[in-house]
Amino acid sequence: MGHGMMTRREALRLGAGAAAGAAMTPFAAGPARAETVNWQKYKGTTLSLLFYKHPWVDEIQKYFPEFESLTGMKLQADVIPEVQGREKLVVQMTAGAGDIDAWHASMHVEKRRFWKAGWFQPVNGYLGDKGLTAEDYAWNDVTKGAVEAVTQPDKTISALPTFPDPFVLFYRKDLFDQKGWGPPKTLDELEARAKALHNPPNMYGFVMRGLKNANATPWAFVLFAMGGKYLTPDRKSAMNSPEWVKTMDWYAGMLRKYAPPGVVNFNWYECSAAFIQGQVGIYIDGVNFANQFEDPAKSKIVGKVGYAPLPAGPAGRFAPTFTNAMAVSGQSRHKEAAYLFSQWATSKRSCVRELLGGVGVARASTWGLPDIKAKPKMPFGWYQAYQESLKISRPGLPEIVDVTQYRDIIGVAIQKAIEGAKPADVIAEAHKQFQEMLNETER
Amino acid sequence: MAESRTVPPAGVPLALGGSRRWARFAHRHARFIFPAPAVVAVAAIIVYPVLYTVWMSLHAWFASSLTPPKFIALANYGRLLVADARFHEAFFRTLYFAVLVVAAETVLGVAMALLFNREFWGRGLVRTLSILPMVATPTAIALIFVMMYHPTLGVMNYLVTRAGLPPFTWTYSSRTALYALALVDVWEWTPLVMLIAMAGLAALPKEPYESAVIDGASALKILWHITLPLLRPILIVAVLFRAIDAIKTFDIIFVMTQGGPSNASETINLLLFNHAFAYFNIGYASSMAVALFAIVMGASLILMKVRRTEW
Amino acid sequence: MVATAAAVARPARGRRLRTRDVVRSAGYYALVCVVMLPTVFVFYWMVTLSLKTQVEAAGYPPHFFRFAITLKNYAEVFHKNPFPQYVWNSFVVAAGSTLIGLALGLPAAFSIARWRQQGLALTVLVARIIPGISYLIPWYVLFRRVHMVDTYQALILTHLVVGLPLIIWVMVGFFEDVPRDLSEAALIDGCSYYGAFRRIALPLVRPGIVAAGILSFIFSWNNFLFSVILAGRHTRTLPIAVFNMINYEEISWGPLAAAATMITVPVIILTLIVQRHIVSGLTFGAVKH
Repeated sequence: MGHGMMTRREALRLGAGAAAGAAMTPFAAGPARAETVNWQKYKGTTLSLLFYKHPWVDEIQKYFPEFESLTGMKLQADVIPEVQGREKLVVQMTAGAGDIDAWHASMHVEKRRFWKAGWFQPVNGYLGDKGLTAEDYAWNDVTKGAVEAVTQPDKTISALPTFPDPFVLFYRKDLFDQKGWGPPKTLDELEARAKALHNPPNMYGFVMRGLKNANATPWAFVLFAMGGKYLTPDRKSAMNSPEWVKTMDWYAGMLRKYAPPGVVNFNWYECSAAFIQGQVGIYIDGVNFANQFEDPAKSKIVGKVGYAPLPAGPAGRFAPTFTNAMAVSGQSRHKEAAYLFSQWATSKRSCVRELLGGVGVARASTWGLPDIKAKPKMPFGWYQAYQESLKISRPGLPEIVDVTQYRDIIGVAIQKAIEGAKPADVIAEAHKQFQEMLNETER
Repeated sequence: MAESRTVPPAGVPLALGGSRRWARFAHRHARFIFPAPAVVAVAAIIVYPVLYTVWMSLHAWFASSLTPPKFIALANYGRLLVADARFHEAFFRTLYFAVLVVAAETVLGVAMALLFNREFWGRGLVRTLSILPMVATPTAIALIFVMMYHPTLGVMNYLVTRAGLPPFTWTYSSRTALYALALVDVWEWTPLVMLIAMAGLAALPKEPYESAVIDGASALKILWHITLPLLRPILIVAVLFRAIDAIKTFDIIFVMTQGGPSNASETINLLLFNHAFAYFNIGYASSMAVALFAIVMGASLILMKVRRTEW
Repeated sequence: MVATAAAVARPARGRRLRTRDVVRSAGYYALVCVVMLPTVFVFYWMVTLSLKTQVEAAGYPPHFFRFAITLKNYAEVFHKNPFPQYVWNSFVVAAGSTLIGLALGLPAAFSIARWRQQGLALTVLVARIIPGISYLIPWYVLFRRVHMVDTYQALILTHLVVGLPLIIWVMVGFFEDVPRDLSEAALIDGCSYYGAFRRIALPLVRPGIVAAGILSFIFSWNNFLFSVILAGRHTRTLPIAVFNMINYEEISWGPLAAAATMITVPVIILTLIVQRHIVSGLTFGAVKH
């Protein structure tokens, strides 16, 4: 591994050093401060955890033995690909049997629906309980966007944020340098650069997801940039506004003009495949897809990628962010024990380990640690873009019960527009469907 | 073949009267006792899901709802039949897809069977190889095809462009997605029809052919007037089973297009999955499941009737 | 081999081999190759994908023959999945459901064939017609209540839904083939139906039993939907190894093809061993209806 990446052992050592340097932790072996959290309180309990396959999970799993010896609990973790994992979660929660103690929730999908179902165990009480939450857990260290993502309208906190996923801009630095460009700062600049780079069939200017449902997330950045909103103040569809039509015009237009053929059905893997093979000049997607760009075993563009926060539109610059979090199940029979796990998994020390492993975290303090800056796993530009995006982050999807159906509705509309339908028409149609859906599900 | 008798052989004490009575009972009711374990097992496993689904289809309920299911009688079905345009489209699309693939598989399967219906070196090898598509895990095959269909990086378009044609859009356009998917299905299941047809050909009687040859009939005439009609009853059974599975096709579509682009490849089964596990609408999804069942059952009954009248 | 209308490429006995015949033969073999090409190509592609590096796998233009062979993909599949455990689980479930399916299905098929119980045949078909999704929630609730989640028994029972109708349908054809006079004779001799079944019918349909069993095994082996919901850490089956290659941030094409190949291999080997039986199984079942 080249390019400033380190071995696991080095990372561990650095992580330990950073953690020790950061603050006294309850994990420290020395008895310097009186501990108020009794980690061994639920010794002997077996926790059933459900995770969707995710790099955050890959990292944290390595340290499970540490948690087990710290608390005397046993961890049984199911790691399943997301679609099947959520299927299983739904079946088990519907059966109401309390088989899952905690899971790695995707707040952008599950937030409101699961809250209404009572499937989240509110953790406000636990956070305030000194007997359960360590002194230095520092809830106020968590970034504002992440806190927003896990807090419900009635101020209950449903989960502890683990992984915020903002969308960022990836671009071919080598090509940009040749033309003397910096990263595009506005939508217009982006379009101009894509146009200049566009030279089929060897090089395409731009790519972004076209597959329905998947395309709803990049859609958000254009929508916010144009000043569009999902819902009116009285929670009705706000789609019938000129901002939405402008967004559709720009989104579908860009993909129609400057993207590789077939983009209408591209999910992230077709997009990133095209980018990695050097066929595309600019690519917008979640920040963590970058991991493979810098891997020589997988990528033809190692070292040639530039990272930047998303460009601004007339209404400003926003990074739609999608947050994962550790949620304790409201049906669990070991709620406090599950909370201890969630807390440990999102503690400062765990966050440091994650970030050193190249996985973004929701704690502001972790990003500034000197060790991260000294030996990063990813190029410095990536960390910069990530951090800056967190500062301008906003939840990317509407906070409604049936997010998935919204994504299907707008997803199909976008596809139709890419294939040539008029933006105004598809938006009108989508607005109608969206409102119907809200009527049915938001009761 | 001398068999055991109900009368015990000499030297062994007579069976007690009860056991004789049981033997008579068992004999008279054999036609029920034989299938009983199987029927009980199947019924036990499916009765609860069937009842649950039918019951749920008469209610409005979301999986995440805190309120219990609300009885709404046939309102779900009403919505299916009248209001749900997406379902109507999926319905016609499903039938179109099923007819398309079953027709293609039947024609190709019979043609291949006719082609392979002679002794040639390597016949066993060919038979083994041609079964393979049927036995491979459908999801794995689908993912491989995803890669092969990639418009700019896939091997399919590479071959197409090398042949001098413009690149296809395969599953990446709403106009061609359904056909690209049909191609995968045909690739996977034609062998089933072919094998059945081959066996059917092997069992054909010789007499019609001998008289036809004597009469001087041409090869084509023989094929059309003798072979195919004789083969028909057998083919119907293959068509029946393929039709059942084709209407319910899920894996390929879910993996490759998720029903897109723009719902161009959304079949009933896919829509059903969405309503159940994406929209959490268990009540409505249950009614759709019942509808799907009715459709498949209807098609099966029609085909079974056709087969019966051919006799 | 029945002489169909198609001209036989081999000359009649005694005649010398003429150029025309040779050309026709060659043309025939060429046609066979062309017809088999799609089948073989996809499998070839899958295997070569599993031997390529990631960069090569997505590379364009694709390399068909000349590429660096790597076994790293297979290593990664083994590393990320407890493959031996998955194979074992898949085997236990498939074998279990097949054996039970045969034990239940053979008498039922015999009965349907003997007493023409069309209604029963249709009932059995129903289990196969029901969409798989309808089973998920009720089964989970049911099995949970009797504490059978993450057990082999639950998976075996549910796989019966796929295997039993198949076994019965295939075997009915075979049983119908057993000449009625044979069983009649045995019955006159004082044999019970059970005896006739056991000693006359079963031995005669043995190829069918093998065929039906293999088919049921294969379909159970490939079944994914039920296993995801009802299996837990201990009973997880093979197809999930394929899905594990799809990460949040990338699809590992090489390891994915490797996993797909590895899942297919045991089934293919089984197929090769009994391919003759499969063909006769399917065809006997169909022909005699």
